[in-house]
Amino acid sequence: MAETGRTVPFALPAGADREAARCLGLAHPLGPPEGLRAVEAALARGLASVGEALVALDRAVTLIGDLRALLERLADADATATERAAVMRGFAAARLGLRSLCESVALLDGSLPRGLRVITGIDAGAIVVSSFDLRPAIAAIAEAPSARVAAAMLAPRGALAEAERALAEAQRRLAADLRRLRNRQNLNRALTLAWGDGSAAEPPALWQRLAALLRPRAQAR
Amino acid sequence: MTVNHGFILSSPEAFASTAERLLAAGDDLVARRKAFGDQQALWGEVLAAVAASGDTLPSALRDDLLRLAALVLEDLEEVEPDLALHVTVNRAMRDGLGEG
Repeated sequence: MAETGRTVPFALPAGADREAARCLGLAHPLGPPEGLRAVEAALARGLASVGEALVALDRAVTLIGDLRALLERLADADATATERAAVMRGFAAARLGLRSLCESVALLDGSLPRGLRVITGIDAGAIVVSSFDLRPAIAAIAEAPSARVAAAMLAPRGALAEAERALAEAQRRLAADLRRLRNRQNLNRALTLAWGDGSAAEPPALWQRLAALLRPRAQAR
Repeated sequence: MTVNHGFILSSPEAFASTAERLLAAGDDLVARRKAFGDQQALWGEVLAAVAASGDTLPSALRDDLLRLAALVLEDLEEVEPDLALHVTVNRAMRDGLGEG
């Protein structure tokens, strides 16, 4: 699976994104308030993107569960040909659904030809979001398994278990990405409140330190 | 809950119930994700409350709350946050606010 911790490339260098990136960068002092608003807009896009990917992964987990139940029936050597045919149709539909799901997530940033990946829309170096390619795990799920292949796929280290592990890992990492983005949202909100009507020249030094505490972690991943 | 000088902080029950939800989530990935999300929202509110308090809050209390918020929020950026840390901090907040 899974290539993680890649810096998201900067696809759309719009003015707001540039400003957001500038304010999120390590070297930039906090503010001013209009900078925070640009950051907020970029964060909202990132949160929506990661949130969508998490919903898709939840659905993928459900589909893997469906596949497991169907494989158990296919692995049953006593099943009649009619029963097997019906189960196979369900299996094919669930497998197709899983593939479509990955494609839809891959299209979240409108540019990726393959794999499962999310993008925040924030400049490179500002927020690093995990990216995942679950195609190998999903490709190992056979298209039309025989009873023997079904049993092999159900094994503890079989294709289904591997796909489940890959999905779970992607979920955990994306959930952490979501929390990192929300932390910046929390911080922005607090800074905006601390600035009040904007008459203060800069927020208290403690806010600067708090921001510094939260910020390098986004760079380090 | 109002601590003093008009500073409004979440109730002791909010800290306690979030701690309990974290413990109850166990190994359920979705429940854990939601519980840590609740924890983040709760401490985001702490951050906002401190920010909105301006100069009305004693500086030592403000600094302590900010440090605690930074500790909690920073750990939530981990792929596997430290469950014991969050439960301990929340219970301490519950106890501290309950006395006030």
